[in-house]
Amino acid sequence: MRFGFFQLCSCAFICGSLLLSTGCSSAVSAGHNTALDSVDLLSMTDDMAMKIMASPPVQDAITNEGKLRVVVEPVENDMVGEVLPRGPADAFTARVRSLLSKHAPDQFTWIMNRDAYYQLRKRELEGVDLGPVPGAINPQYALTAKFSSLTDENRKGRSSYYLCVYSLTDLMHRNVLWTDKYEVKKTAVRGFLD
Amino acid sequence: MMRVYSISLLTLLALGCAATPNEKRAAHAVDDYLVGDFDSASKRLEPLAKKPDSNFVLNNLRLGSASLHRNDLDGAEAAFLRAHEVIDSFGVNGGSRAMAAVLVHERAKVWRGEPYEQAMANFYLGLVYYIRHDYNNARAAFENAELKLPTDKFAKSSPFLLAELMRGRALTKLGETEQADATFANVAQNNPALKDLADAQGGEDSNLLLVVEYGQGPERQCIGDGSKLGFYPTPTEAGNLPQPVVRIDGREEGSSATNVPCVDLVQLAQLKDRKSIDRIRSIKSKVGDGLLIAGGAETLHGADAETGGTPADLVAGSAMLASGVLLKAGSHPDLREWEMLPRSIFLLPISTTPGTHEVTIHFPDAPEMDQTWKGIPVPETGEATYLFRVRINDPGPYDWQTNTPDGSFN
Repeated sequence: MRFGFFQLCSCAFICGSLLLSTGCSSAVSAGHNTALDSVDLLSMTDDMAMKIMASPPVQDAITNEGKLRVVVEPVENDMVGEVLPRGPADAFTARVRSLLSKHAPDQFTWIMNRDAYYQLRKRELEGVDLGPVPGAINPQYALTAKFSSLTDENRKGRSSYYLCVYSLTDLMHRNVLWTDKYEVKKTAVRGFLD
Repeated sequence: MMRVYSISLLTLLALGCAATPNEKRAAHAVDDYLVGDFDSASKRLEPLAKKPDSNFVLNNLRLGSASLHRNDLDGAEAAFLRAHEVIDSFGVNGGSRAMAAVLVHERAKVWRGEPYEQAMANFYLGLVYYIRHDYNNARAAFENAELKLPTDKFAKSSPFLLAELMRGRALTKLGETEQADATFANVAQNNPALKDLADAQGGEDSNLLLVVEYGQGPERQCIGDGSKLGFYPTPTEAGNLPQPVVRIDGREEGSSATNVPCVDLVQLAQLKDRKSIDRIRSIKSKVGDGLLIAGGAETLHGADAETGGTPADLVAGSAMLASGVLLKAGSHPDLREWEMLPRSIFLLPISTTPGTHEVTIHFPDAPEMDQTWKGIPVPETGEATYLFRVRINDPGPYDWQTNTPDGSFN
């Protein structure tokens, strides 16, 4: 009875260990970090698009000048310790453009920025109408965004406070027609094996 | 029952010890890399880097290193970003992985590297952006590299002065001269040996930056009773690093005062946080020792019928011995490492005439490490950055081959 129970426990331990070692989660499906993610992208750009359309100075400008010709720039990364590669940097302003194109097509004309235009031309995509070259149309306004952050990492974990400022600037007069911000604080606590 | 037990034990031991086919392929890739065959290393690593297994970060870092030396900046960026995402995440090794790492072996956990490896991963990501002149992202990656190394609470800055120097350079390029000067002053204050180099970094006059990797990074090893993680060599064992001289078309350029090593990973590897898993390994080792001693005594007792030993004692003793062996085998530290890391990196800013040049990195105290590159383009405006890895008895000359689509230099 004594060794039977011991054997049972040992076998259970070994089989359990085998199951544990083979049934682990993927390296990319677990864990959490403090970087801006797709949830932030959606809530931030929804918020900003709504605020641009609701802005009285923007509506006044549309009333006075007609459709605003706007060039969209990628996000300027001023964050501490957070890289923002070209794709996400484009996405955070491109989605605002996309939302405004959809919900207010009669209020804005969107002009491709110079870098994006020449990048597409470089790819020599057949059948893609790139429209007029950037120099042929002068945008009146620029939709820009600058992301800043305060980040700290220590033995307990990592925390980041983000301030994401969007602006619609009159390129001719350097007036800021509209500006607003999105703030978020994120914390990730070190786990047992971190 | 005994047979089932034995088979389970052997299977578990085999699982814990044997290299998988993917690990063997990765080992071949590392060999390719170390002899300078970066194309072959990349080809072997590309499929491995896509598998989100426990070696996901490690294989992506390996791929990033190989891609960077092939001047495949897109490939290097993608690989380092994939690794960076997991390195910057916490709780990756939760649940069943944590249990397996504790109960079976530490290798079950997703490898995220030691602090110096995490710092170097961010340094190389920053270097990719710096080479591309994306200075905002370069600055951010160098900052993140500095955050990865543990500092004591009295330290004013990170011990990773290589990243701080590069952050200063990125800030200079961004026109943030005040911040850049403060950064260089901090480097000079923290390590007087880097003062001349730090002072020389601030100027905008260099149009060529050579980033030279030298030597082999620290190697993980078991120390003590086999349950502790150590690094070989120690700074004392490793000795001093030689200083290089740069020759452009045969002429010496730069100053010997600035040609000093910016980092010594052998030293940085010693800055290691003691983690819970280190204590667990130590406990497993001690319990394993106890089981081996007790199991040995019980087995001897069981084998001796004259002292009242029974077959039951024999089996119980054998089971204790087996469990002791199992615990001892599982108490070894995880020795997986980013083998491609150099021991040191030199930052060599040069101001020379625009055009195409032959560049020689010459080590007067270690001539077997000399290396020559032909066809290095230097721009009229701005700065071109090149990463070289000097290897023993591998003088070249090599031709610089760019992978950028338009055939231009960086």
